Amino acid sequence: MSNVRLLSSDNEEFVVQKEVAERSVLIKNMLEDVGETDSAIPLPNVTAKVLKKVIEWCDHHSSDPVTTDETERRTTDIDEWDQKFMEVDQETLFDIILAANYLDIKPLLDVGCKTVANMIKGKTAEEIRKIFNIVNDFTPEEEAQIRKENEWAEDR
Amino acid sequence: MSIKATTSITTNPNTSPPAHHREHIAVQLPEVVSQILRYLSPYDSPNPSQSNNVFAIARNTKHLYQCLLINHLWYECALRHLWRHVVFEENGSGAESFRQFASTFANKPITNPAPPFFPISFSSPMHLSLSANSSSPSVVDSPLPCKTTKGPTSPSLSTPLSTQSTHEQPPELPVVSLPPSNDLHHRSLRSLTLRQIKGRDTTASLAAIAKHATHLQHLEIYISQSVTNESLTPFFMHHPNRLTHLSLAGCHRVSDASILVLARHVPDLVHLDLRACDMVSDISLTAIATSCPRLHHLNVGRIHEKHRITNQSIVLIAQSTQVAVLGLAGCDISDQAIFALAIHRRHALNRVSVNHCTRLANLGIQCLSSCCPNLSVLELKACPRINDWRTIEALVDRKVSLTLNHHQKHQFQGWSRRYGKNRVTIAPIKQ
Repeated sequence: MSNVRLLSSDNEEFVVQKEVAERSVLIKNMLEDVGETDSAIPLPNVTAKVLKKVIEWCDHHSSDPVTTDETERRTTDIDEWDQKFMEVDQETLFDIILAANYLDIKPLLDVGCKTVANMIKGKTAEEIRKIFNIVNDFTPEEEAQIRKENEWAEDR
Repeated sequence: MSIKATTSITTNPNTSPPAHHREHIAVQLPEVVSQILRYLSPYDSPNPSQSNNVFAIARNTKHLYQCLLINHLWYECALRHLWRHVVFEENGSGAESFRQFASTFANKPITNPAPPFFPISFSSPMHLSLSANSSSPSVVDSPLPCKTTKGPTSPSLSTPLSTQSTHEQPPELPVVSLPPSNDLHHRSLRSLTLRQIKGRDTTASLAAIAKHATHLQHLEIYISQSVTNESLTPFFMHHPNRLTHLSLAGCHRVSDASILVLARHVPDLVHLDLRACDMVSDISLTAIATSCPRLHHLNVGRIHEKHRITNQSIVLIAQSTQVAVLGLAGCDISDQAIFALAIHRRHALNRVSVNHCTRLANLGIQCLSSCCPNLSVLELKACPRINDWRTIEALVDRKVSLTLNHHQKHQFQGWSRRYGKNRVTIAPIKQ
């Protein structure tokens, strides 16, 4: 099994098995384009701390079948290992989501986004803003209009 | 403005918050926020046979509703998801919620009596509604003046409502340019489901929605007296028409007039459920057969008006479409129709119901048995002339789910016993 070298944005190098690295569609495509190479693949958007987590996830899931069925991917619950894996501080959680998005690792992006969606469920807008430190940029009039236009969805 | 300031103070008590107290870049990216909200959204392909999906959708709207109110960026992402698959059920407030939805979607108040809709005139009903219902807050939603947006992330918000502008708005003015949020509503709506909604305004609401539902792919209205040909046809008149799935089970007032329009303007139709639409006949089904070659699922099962559906249309459906699931319960068909289905659809034929088709005899099921290896469900209840138990046995051996009534089961078991066998029929999962 051949290895691939990945270089984080803060210049830390990781050596991983090719099949683990290829969970990332971005890396898979890059490897297909360059062919056999000795030089490390630079990942300028991912820090060593996050890349380490992402590799850990890819390693655990390296032999998963690829699910293309959208509905199945959306409705499947997060498995126990992934739940544990996602028990990180909020900033790391979002960093993982961004890395999964950039590296094009759809199942990891799914798990991350499902985790955030679960944090949102049952909360009010104000509570959600508080959790994610989002600033309210609506005028009271805008907010009133949104409430009115979407009244039909409020309590259902 | 003062409210806004108070809000940000409570959210961020420190004037310069530490890094981990700042809004993460991920929740500022529309693609990521949209991805997150997908998991709070109704499914992309709502499956009407699974009623638990409907509950999932209903439960989900309130989460998305809260996400609308977070900030401009979340508003737009949540709106697209919230307005994509919309379901109303009769649960006390269903009809009223639907009226609210329709009046926002159509950007005009919905009132009873129903306006003359086809072609739609905006003038008189709006005038009526403003004067008649001025005390009701939900009717204040008159056409909003379109004003330039407030910031780069807020293209979808128009001028806030004020009582003054509502009163100044001349009621007879037609909607010239829609506010951006309305355009977003129209583009977002892909599927609309109404289950037993009985409100007095439902016909008017449907007609108002129909005119603007340019991106609708899936329309399902289950048991409604409110669905008329006039309220339905505007759904079919959009160009291009994206509708692929139409289900009108139990909508008694639907007749050939609207189904002919459907055939003419919606060539990509895949799924057509007209159960208990008694007025629909061979006339429009023949048009569907020749105009909708991708039709895969057709149900015209009925209890009344059996004579309206005969071999004439069903043979054409068999010859000209991709039909694989076919509900013909109670239709006035003979073995000729079943024979045509068997030889034209062969491997593709999957589920067939001919319950109460009293003219059917053995030839039809013999053809199904020999030509259609992928048949998985065959409903044969109350077909008194079918008595070829050997063919029935062959179907049972092939694991085809058969539905027989008590009398037929008794006969089949009697036959089996005479030949020293012990047969069990498996009832299919009801759709």
